Amino acid sequence: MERIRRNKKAVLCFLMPGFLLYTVLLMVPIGGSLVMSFFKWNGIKNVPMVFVGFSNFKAVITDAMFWHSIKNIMWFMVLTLCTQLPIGLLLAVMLSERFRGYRFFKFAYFVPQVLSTTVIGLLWYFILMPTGVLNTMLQGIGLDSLVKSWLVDKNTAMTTIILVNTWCGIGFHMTVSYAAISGIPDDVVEAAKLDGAVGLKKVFHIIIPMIWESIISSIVVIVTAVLKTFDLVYVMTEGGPNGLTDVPSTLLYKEAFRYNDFGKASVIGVYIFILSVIFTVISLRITKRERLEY
Amino acid sequence: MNDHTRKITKKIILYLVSFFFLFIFIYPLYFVIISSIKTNTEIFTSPFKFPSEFHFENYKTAIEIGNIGRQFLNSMFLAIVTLVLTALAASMVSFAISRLRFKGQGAVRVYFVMGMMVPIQSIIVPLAWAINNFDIRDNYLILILLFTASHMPLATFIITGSMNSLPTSLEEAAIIDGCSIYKVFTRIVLPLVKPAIATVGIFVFMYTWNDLLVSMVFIGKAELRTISVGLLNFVGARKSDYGALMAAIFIAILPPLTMYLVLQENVVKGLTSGANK
Repeated sequence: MERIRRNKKAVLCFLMPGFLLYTVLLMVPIGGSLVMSFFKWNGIKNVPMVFVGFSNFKAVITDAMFWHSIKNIMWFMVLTLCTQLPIGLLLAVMLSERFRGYRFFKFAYFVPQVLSTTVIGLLWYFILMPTGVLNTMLQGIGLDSLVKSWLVDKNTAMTTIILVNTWCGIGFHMTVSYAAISGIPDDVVEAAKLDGAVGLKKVFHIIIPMIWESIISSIVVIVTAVLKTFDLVYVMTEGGPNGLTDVPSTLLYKEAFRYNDFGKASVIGVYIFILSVIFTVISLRITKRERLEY
Repeated sequence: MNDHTRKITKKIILYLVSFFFLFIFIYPLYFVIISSIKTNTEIFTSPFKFPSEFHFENYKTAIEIGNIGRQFLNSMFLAIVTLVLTALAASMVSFAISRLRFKGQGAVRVYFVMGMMVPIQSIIVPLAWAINNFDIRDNYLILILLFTASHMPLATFIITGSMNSLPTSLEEAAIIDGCSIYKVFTRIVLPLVKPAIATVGIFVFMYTWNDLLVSMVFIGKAELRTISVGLLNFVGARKSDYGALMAAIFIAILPPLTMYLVLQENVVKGLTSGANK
């Protein structure tokens, strides 16, 4: 038995295709990204890359646009955490009342999750543009003072994009929380009911502590997903007007394919990667510590 | 307030909130569908009303001028081939990790999990370099392999988890009966992890169908564009032909939406599978 499981030829056979593919097309490029961040290159074939040491890193660190994009992504994380999570939880708690038709609502609320970010971006763009549905609606109910160019106005542009992102993700977190709530043992719920834990009390003293692990995993998902945001911002505003709504990944794209500064783009890529690793490690640490015993 | 009225108020509130969110989540979809058969003026003057007459010529414009049909097929091809390749490669790797014994097994497992932290943007620049230097722009094979590689970590994670939960007694009996390790894989283990493979298949299909960034960087020729890139180009080219744009959008969401309508809970499982890592 052991001999068969240790068969070297079999190991190579099963492991190699996936291993090579993954290494050559995902892990090597990550290394390549690090290497390229020390070079200047304009993206043109046969133009040699020039070693420039840390100057790309310096250029990015001193770039106000970069810090603005970091500020945007942090606001993105905070606002997403404060909206997606509570609304998802609210819907999950509601649906777990299992009222007539709850399956239909659960099904419908998940629909945005199925659509592509490109489609969602375009769709909301048409709803939010100056002559779009939202403004028509506001005018229709006499709220003319609220009519705005939602995606251009510097007070609303970033927040509007973030709220559209919230719209996409609520279904996801609702589903995760709903599954966790369904997993709470019945005797716990019954005992709590006898002790007088109903309504909000039940939510805060029973449900939330009992599904804490799933909430933490939702937080991890939000933080890492927000960091990777590209499509939605690119589709809705391309990071504009004038970099107002740029996030690191749209900045990376522009540095590379608009300004042909691949060195600087690489550096931004490296920063995104480092942030992603840091956030994941921190979140996993927290998850381990907070694991609830019952 | 007695118990009965309290129950009724609770019900009313539940339904009010439920329908409010139903409107918020479903209205944009409804808007696409009705607008795709409206004239330009009618779209924004009455964004809630059902169209007064059906204008199916919007779909004709989307297909003939937007070339959405071709892009639909391109994306379908990419998504399906990527799905098959990912499921195959990830099952094989998972089998090695879960069932074979070799030096550095733990390290290999961690190595594959690590990839889940790699944001795809971080490899865009080296990719652009490779595209220029190896002349691989518009090469669908490379594009498919690239998609496959990027889905390997999560796919391997899911399938390995499923294999680990299987008892080994079945395979051991088969091996004693003289079954080779390859047959154990194809005849015994693979059929048992079908649900996990379905989950992987669904998320790979969805993510590939929805990809924007990689295809945008990788594809140059108009006739090879994927549907997401095609949509953006169409919007750029026909800025105010909203009816046709909505028709194009509706075509683009048909496959994922149909999949969701048919497979329901399985799609939910596929798309939330990243949450349990």
